[in-house]
Amino acid sequence: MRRALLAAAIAVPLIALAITASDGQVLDTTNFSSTHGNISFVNADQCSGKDSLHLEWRITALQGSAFGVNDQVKIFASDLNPADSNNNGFCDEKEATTPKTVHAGPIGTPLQPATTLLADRDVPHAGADIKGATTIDCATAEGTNVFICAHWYDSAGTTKKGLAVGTFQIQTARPDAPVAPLEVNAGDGKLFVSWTAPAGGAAVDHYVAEAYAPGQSPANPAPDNVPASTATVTATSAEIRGLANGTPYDVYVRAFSVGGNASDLRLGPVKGTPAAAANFFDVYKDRGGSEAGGCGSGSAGVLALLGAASLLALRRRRP
Amino acid sequence: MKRSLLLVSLLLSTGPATARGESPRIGSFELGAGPYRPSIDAQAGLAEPLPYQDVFGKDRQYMFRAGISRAIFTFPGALEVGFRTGYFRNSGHGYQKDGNGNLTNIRSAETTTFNIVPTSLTLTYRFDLLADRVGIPFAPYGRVALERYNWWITGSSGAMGKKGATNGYSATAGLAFLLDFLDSGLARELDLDTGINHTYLFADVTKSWVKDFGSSTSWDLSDTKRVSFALGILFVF
Repeated sequence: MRRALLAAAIAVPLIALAITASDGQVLDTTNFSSTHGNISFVNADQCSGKDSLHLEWRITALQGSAFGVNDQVKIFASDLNPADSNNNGFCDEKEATTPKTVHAGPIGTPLQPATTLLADRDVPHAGADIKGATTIDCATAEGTNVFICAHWYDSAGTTKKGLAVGTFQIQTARPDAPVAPLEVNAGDGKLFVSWTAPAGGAAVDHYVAEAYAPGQSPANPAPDNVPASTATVTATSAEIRGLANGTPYDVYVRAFSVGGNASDLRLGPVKGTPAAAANFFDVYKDRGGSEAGGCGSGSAGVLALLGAASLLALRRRRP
Repeated sequence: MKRSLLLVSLLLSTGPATARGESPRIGSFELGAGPYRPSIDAQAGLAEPLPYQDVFGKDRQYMFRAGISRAIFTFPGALEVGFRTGYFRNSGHGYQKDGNGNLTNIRSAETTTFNIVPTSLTLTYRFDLLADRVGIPFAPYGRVALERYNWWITGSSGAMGKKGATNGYSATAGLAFLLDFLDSGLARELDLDTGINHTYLFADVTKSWVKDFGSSTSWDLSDTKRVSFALGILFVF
């Protein structure tokens, strides 16, 4: 029983950390925010087609639907909320003109469901396909909601058997770069970094502080140059850990919006060299201190405890 | 002379508290705090700058204490044997080390902490007859204690640097103000509901000698002040 409770105690936080679509939901595993109304974001790189969306869904079956071996899942995108349409909760699958202009269309080729649960995880879809399906103009669509639907069809691709829907917000605006001074202080195997938040641009959701080893630079992007270590924080200070003492690193900081749009410019570089640190006892010994640690005259303390315990015991024996 | 005899007669005539309708007294519980700074820098021969001040600065930090005691007798006055413990913490910055492990003169951004859990075996006498019988709401008290300060030092990322224990003794003199005096009805209700006979606010001064009885390999964790001052609240139950 105890083991089970322990396992549950460990598992609960792990489950809470994982991003998992609930029944009837589609989300982006890299850009989903439960603190912004349970929506996913389509950022500038995804909208321009540079990056893919990583979709996950869990389809709710319509009543009476049974899984068939050759069933298929089709993905659609629309700028009309299925909940508001007269299309039985489905994303419209073709462009319509009533009750208002609707842009909708299929994305990619049909997929065969991975399991009978009709749940799929991290299925990449090109951002450009979503843009194409909804005819969204990334330059002017800031803040616009689009809806991505996963429809479960029979093997013929004609009968709908279930669906999942997700809200995705176009967010292409970038925060301004963090503001100097960028302060870098040496820690033991790490660097303590602090900066000032930018005043303009999109709201900052988080910062990424990067430490590049000598000869490496963000000017030559991955895979050629990658930071030795990074730290992602929401505050304007960070500890970049996992660094080698004695190595001079170049530190940069970049701001990100909630949708994952990075500031165009990085703040930095500022050099920092991690170094082993002396604690108070090291300093004390360095100055000639004689304390050796351990329990000193420990036996005296034990004797005192025994003496007091004896006193209490004698006291209890009285009527 | 006659007045003195009358006062003594009044104090002793009514007997123990239980005879006056209070719940039986078993002991007491106290919470207190006072500024503290160990005398580590007082060790002869330490090089400048002195290490404790260099790392933690000049300020005194608070030491918090809690104690529980069992009464040996409660009349006249209360003699109690007890156990106290508490916590003290100070934090600062050490220095960077070079590639050979020697200290440089560059301050490290890493935090180092000095932590103490002081434990004491105490013998306390509290003269509470005046408060109990005459209506003077003050109870002077004295205490002697055997002290054992368990300490540890942390360095980078909270890593344990060194730990140990230093023993000693202390003597305390204090004055407790009986809060029951302000609302005796409420005090009686508290006794009926919880068994707490009396509640005091106290202030005391302590002279401590915590340096392993003069051991040459121990540092001095006695307070840097001639006497240390503490305030707290005491429940007699």
